[in-house]
Amino acid sequence: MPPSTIQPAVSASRGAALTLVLALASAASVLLVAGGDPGRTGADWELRQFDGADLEAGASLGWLARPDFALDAGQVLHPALRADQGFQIRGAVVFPRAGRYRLRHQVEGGTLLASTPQGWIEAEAEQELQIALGFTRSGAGPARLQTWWEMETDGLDGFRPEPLPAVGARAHEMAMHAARLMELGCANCHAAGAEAGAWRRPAPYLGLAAARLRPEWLRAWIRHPQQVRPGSGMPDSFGAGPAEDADAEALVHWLAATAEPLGWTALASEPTTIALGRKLYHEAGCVGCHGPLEPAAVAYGEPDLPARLPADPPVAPFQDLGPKWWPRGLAAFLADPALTHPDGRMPSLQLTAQEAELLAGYLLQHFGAKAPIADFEPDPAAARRGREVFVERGCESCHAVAPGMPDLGGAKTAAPLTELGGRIAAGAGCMGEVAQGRPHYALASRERAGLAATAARAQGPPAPLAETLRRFAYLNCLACHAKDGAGGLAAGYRPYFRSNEAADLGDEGRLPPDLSGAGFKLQTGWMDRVVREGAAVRGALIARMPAFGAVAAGLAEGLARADGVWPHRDAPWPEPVDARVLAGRNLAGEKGFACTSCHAFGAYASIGAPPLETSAERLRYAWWAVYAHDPQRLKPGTRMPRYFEHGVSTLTDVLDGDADAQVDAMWAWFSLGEFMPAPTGIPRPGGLVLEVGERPRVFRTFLQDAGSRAIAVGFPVGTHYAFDAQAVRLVDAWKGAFLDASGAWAGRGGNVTGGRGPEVWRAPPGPALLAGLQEPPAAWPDALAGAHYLGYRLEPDGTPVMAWEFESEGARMLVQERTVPHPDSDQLLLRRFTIADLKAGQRVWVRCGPGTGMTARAVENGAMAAERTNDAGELVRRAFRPFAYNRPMVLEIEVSQ
Amino acid sequence: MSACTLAFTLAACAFPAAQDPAVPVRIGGVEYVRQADRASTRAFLLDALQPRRVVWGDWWLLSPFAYAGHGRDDLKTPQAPELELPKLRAGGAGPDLAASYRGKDGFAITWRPLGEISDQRVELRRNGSAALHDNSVCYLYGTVEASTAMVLELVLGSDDGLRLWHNGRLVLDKDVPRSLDPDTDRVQLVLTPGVNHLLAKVCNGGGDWAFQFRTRPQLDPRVEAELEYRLDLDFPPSPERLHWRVLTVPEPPGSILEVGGLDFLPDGRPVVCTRRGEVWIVAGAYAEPPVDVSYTLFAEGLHEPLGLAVREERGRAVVYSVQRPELTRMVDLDGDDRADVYECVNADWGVSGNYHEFAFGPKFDAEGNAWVTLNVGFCGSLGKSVVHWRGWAFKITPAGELVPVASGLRSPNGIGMWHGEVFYLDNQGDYVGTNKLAHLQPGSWHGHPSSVHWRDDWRESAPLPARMEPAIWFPYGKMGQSSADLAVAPAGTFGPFAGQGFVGDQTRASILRVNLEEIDGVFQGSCHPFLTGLASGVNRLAFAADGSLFVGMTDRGWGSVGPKRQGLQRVVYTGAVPFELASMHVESDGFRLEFTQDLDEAAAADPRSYRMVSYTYEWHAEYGSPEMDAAPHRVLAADLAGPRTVRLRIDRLREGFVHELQMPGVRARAGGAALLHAEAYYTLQRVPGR
Repeated sequence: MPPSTIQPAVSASRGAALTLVLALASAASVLLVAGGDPGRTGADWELRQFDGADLEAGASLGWLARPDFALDAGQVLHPALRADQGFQIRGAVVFPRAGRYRLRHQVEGGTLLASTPQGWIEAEAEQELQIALGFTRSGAGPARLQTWWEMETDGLDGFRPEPLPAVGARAHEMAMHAARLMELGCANCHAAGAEAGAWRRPAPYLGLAAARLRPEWLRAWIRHPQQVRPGSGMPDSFGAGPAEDADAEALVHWLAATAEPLGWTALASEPTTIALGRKLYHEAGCVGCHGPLEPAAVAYGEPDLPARLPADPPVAPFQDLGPKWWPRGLAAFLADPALTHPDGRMPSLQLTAQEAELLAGYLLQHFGAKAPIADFEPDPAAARRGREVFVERGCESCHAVAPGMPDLGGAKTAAPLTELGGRIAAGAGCMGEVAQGRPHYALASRERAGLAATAARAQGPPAPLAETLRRFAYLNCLACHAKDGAGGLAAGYRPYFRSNEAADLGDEGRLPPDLSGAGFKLQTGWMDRVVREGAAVRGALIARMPAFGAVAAGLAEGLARADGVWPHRDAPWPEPVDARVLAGRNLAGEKGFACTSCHAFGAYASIGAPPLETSAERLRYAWWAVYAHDPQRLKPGTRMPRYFEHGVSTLTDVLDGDADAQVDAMWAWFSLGEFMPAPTGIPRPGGLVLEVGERPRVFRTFLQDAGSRAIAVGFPVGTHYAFDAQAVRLVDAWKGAFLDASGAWAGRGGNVTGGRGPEVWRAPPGPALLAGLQEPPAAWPDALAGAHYLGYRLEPDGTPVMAWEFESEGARMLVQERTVPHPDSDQLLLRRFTIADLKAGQRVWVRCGPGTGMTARAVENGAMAAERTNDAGELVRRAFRPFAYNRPMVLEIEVSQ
Repeated sequence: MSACTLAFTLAACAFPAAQDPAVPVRIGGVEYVRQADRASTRAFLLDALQPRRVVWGDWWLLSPFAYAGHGRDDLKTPQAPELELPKLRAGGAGPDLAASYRGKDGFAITWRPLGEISDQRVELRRNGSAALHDNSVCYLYGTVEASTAMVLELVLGSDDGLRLWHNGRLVLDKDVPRSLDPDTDRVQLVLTPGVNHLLAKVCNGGGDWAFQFRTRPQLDPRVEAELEYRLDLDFPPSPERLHWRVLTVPEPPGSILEVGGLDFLPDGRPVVCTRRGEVWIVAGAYAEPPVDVSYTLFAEGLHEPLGLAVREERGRAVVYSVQRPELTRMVDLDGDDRADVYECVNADWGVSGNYHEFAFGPKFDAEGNAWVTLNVGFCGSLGKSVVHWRGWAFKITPAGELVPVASGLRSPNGIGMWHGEVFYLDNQGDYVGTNKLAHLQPGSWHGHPSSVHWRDDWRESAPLPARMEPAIWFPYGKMGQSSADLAVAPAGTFGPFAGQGFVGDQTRASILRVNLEEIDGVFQGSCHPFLTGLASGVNRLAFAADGSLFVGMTDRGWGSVGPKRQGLQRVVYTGAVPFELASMHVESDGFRLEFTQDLDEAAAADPRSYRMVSYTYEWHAEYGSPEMDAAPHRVLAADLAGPRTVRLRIDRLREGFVHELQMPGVRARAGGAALLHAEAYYTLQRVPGR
């Protein structure tokens, strides 16, 4: 560590117990400093007991992501706390670089004893400030704390007040242990105090599941689940011996008798449908939890990608699915997982029935679909015995047969969860090294410490923040989303996440967003729709936000509380008075910030950023009022430009350039929702129609049939044609409207240009002519050898004459091709080819048909030398006269409609 | 002021002739009178230019009522608000704006305020279900106040049909399907003194639904440019403008000057190509202000040309431009300033049709090679080189042969020559941590892997080639967000910055300054803020022979902080030397700083006047990179090595890192002024002598 040159900026402390530690951050602790450099907190925030006086004492209760919370009356931050009891939060703030900083706390329903100074704190370089916050609740009523910071602006640097960024790796790690305890269903048997409900895990509805699963797999699973999937939430429940075997078998018979199996009906498995299922699996988001099954190059059919699977292990690896599912059973499961799996861990990806079949078909093909077996006929006697086994073995503690089915009386209760810590740690009980009675989980010994500590904490009143993080972990949200510096997609999985073709938002347009501060950012109602219904506005992303359904109830509220804001309650909105709304609309328009360059509005999709009219439905004004000033700070790496520099807008002629007033005006406009007046600058179809004036008009662009090197030529009389400079041939002709340049000129352009009038002629395939062959070819070639487009010249009236070359018997032959609307009104085009370098004796062959009336005529010295009208044949079969002199041959082709 | 042409000395144009305060300035025929601030000065002139004899009030909207559809003569079916017409006819108050009506499908609707809507398109289609907009009709109500009885000609249009009542009397009835053209209908209203009531009824069959009326013609762009020029002189928008004047060259009437390329004819006239495929010759661009500009359309119909160069060939000026599919040579054979021949010089690169496969260039080197860079295509936001030479820089020889030079480019919007060496600019994204300027050394690979498979030596399983590090990183956000083009100020021009490089930034509508030096065969250097507040996203820069800098702009599709969407501006040195860090050079133990003015010695020699931090960027497939491994440096000493030179000794130098220098304490000897820009960023790849 370099020698410290930092002096404590503040050394005075008001209470004897208050201390302030200011130290250089060691190099090892330098984490990511993002592009926008929002700074960070140094470590997770520790929650401690607090006796109301001593900020140094107090037992640790665990970790928080940030020094923020919002608790309703009676709610606590930790189960070990009473609702009226104070607590202490300790952690570190890192000032990212030299400057003056200030911390502010919003406090409701309590008193805050803070070790941080009230005023500005001077940092001379990057440095870390340890802080301790003692919170004494005034009674058991609602209480809230939100911590903000700011850096003084000195003209170049500095940032406005904003919530302190969160770092919560340890808080999330703790939540992972709790989620694991839930996954194992411990609280299903072991009482867990007032929080019991929150810790319980409803296991699959057995009767419904049985209809979807193959009996031979069910048999293996029931007999020895911890062998089939070690560490599974389903414990081994049967010991060794024939009697145990018989009981397990009876259970299979009973389950098979409870439902009509969906049985073997093959799913479509031709390569094209498998490819669709493969693509769907890899792009829809399944990869986030289950990992990719094939290299991205294979999944997307893109040979230039590396053809290897990423090494990152998935959080939810597949077992062999082949022997497990009836094909239709898997499809039905994928279409609505919650129907049989009420724990909600496998969410709905909102698949259509067809998509579910494609996905199931692909998965079973990938794992090796098993051949149909003979129908399994449950034996009635065994089934009756199976029902008894179900009760005797306590299966009902976790499983119901189907929702609403009568209680069979088989639920077990065992010692309270809080008393299990020691037993887990000691390797005794259900989780012991060896099965000591039943049930039994085969767990890795390293898992035990975390589980033991978590079990010990599972008591007391509900702690909504802890429960939120636990639910977050349980639902594997962190597999796709980063939050508070934890989680996020594994690096190897990122290439599987894609944007729609039309979108161009960088990673914002393809990766699931970081959820740090999402509770502060999003309206709780919207967040609730996102997690429960999979609502989404990120139109650019191909991956889908899953719908977690009822199991995610309360998650949105919890995320708000964890960020220190009240759920469903925002800061007061600026009133949408007319002047504000119109100013906001103008600010968003093309003469303002041109928001629709990226953002969708109504039916206009733009390049994929979220629709503006949903802003106030989704976002909190409190967040917007911070974010709008400097988007990079709250969302490092965003493409959203910064329009306000230290309170001054780049648009000085609206609302006197007052940034705050402009930010409020835009919000006032947002707040009208679907009734927002549209901003200016949204391209409308038909808005860029190319008119042909008095001269012919040449327009190079992408055309549907003339390709990416197309040359469109429009004529004042309203007949137009397209020339393909790659294939070097005239492609087609149309009448009426020339082109609408929107594809090329609207937004980023570079798209196919459309808007043509009706096509009236299409050239036969291949080149228009061949030269040098004595006899016509047996099959007309696709292309002329060595053909190159050379350019065009404009005649004085603007008519373009294309120049191109090709090879004939090793020699270069130059052609000038002039095509114009035919002067006779009953004809369409007059094409004139002037062929230089034709040698004596060489013949020219012209393709005229089929299906289009064409007349070819060779002209020598202005006199007609040969003529042929094609009415049915493919070729003009007669060769033209050989040309024996050194002047170009002129060939005219008349095209009729 | 008379137009300045190149026939006489250009230097005379660098400074505006001193304005004799006794001679009034006239803009658009009316006198320009300076007021307290910019906004009121502008408003004062507009009122004089386009006096309004009436006062327009606010407007209100009542929508929707049912409409039976076109062709059923249903616009005349009266809805409830028309019951108020007799009241308006009687000269009473306006309609009851607090009243609630039963609208289409039984919805309760009320008047909603629109504010002042004169001269703006009013969208009547709100974001709701089509059922509320298709086959619907609405009412708009507003007032106009006259001091005496007078005739007012109102010009208006609607989408679709329109009825208009003035003081309760029907004055216009058009039941037609149409799109909005605000100049379609003209009615003459005989205004009564005091408040006059206007009620409009607009129907919609389907699609767009809008209304607009005119009270004021659009300002002539030349008048607009002259006014802005005058306002800039009286109220400089920023301290930078005391040293660098920015003149707006008005766009050609009826055209959109989205500048893709910029160069000059031998006679000095700028030649500009646009993203819409036009090539314009601009005459009169050097006048101050340039109000008598005339444009000649040299060529049109090109496929998104993003570069342009003029060459003299056998006594004739020839224009080269890279279109998406080819390098094109355009020749005017008959001297009428219009191209007659569009010759395809080379088309040996692939065009798959992906929108992001932009092509840039050419810039010519001393041997007459035309340099071209190609974007990779975007497939799902990741750059892909699916066709030949995508992501490459190459040169096309005078014989028309394509010679590949360097690969690994991503979005190389800009090529520049630095004293004979060729550089290019890349935009941040996948495998580009932040915007950068890099040397196009033959055979070099610049880090984007998609294009490497076109190399001769590429093998499927081979490791990637050694990565060429950039000469300059532009820290994202601090030094722009999307760099474009490099132009070098000719010797003897541009005040203290002669010989230095200038780089545009599209997002920020700004220009950055760069300096390069070669250490052990490796180019590296510094970037500095230069000029902000240009009219739109800066896309092209070119120095004219007189040392002024032409700036071509467009931000379509990407957006910029500039108030305009495109245009052409010219930056002229005023002669007032700014107090700036002129250049920054690395030494074995620190940096040598050269300033443009004599320094306050005490402040300059105080190490506390400086702060330095260094960081680097990650190379990965993610979009951009955060600043990585950031660490503060200690300034050990600041030694004065001359009246304008400081040698900074730094605790350590980190190769491969951007060294960000802040100079909050540095002051000029004269007046103790602070630096115009107190920051600079040096990209250190090699420490000399290490």
